[in-house]
Amino acid sequence: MISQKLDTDLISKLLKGDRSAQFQLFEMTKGMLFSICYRVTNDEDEANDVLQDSYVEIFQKMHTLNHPEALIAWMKTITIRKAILQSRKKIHFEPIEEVEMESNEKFDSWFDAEMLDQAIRSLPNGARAVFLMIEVEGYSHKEAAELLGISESTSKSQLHYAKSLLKKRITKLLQA
Amino acid sequence: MKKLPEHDPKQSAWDDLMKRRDFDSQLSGHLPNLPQYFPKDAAWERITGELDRKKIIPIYIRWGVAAAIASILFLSGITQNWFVGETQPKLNQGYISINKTENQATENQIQPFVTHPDPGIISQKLEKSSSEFSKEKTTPRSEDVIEVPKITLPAIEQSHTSKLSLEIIKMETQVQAPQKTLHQVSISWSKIKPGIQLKTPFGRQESELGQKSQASLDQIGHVILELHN
Repeated sequence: MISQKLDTDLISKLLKGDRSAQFQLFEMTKGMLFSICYRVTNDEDEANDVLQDSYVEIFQKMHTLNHPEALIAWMKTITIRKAILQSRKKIHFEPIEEVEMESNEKFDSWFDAEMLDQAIRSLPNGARAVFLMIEVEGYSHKEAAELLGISESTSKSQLHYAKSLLKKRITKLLQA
Repeated sequence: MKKLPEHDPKQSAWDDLMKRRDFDSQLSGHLPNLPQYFPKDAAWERITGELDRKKIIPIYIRWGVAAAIASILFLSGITQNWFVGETQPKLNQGYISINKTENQATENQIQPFVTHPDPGIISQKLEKSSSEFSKEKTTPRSEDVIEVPKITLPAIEQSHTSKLSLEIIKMETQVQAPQKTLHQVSISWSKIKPGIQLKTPFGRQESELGQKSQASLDQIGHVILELHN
């Protein structure tokens, strides 16, 4: 949807550093980018800081963009990198063995996007970061592992762990 | 009212529904529709403020500045070498001329250039060269020894000399003391308030006066030159 709005005229103005075009892009993408920041950092103030840094970098490095059609993906990459860098000190990967879940347990409940979002925000920092990168942003395990400074196997196990926790937390939310 | 006919769904409808009840299917269905969060209202102002602060200096300006600095350094190096090069031959010229005179005397024998020659050799060479020059002159010199008249100076007492030296020191300190003045000149230039200002700090304490002249830069970029003389 956003890509459709980004016409060639707007992109050419952005490449020239036009302030009104920058504002237009900000208005179009602020919700999408802030949601990434907020979900990764899990803190509103930190998310605002990350968003500001991200847009400053986006606008300053706009002229280096070789493929304008990949603008949104490029913006997302910058933002997620900054968000991870910001919350890297907070990101810890819990050992899976200690909190082994009954993953084979059958899940038979309906839930909505609001409930899922609530459950995602309640996940531990490490598992949440992996889940967001792979399931929400579509990164591969290799890319996520590189960004987070972990091995691919850790990334896989953390994703499995995140999904198991989500099932448990959603079930709890449905029972409440 | 006409009743419309009812249609039954496929037999697999229930199973399909149950399949969609599966956690992974629900997850993939809801992930693109997660609620969006929005930043604070002042976010854009903060971004523009940061952008204005961190305005990118174009690469050609950076290169220009670097080239200017390099050229200044290069030119200063050349001029320094030039002056050193000018002074060094002048210093050696005298010695070379001595060598030349010696060469003339020793039938063009080539002597190696010695940077630190023995002072005795130099004096000998000077004597030789002076004798060479003296040969050229036609007017003969008188060989009479001129006696220097003896001058007897009166002995000065030690107490007098100590007093004199003290007086000199006192005079020197008086000369070095800065002159007190109440005038102060401030020169500033900027887009907001250009011009030269003359300040007279009446009412300042004596300790503040007589300070050295100084140039300072204030918060809005004014360069203030304070002259206290």
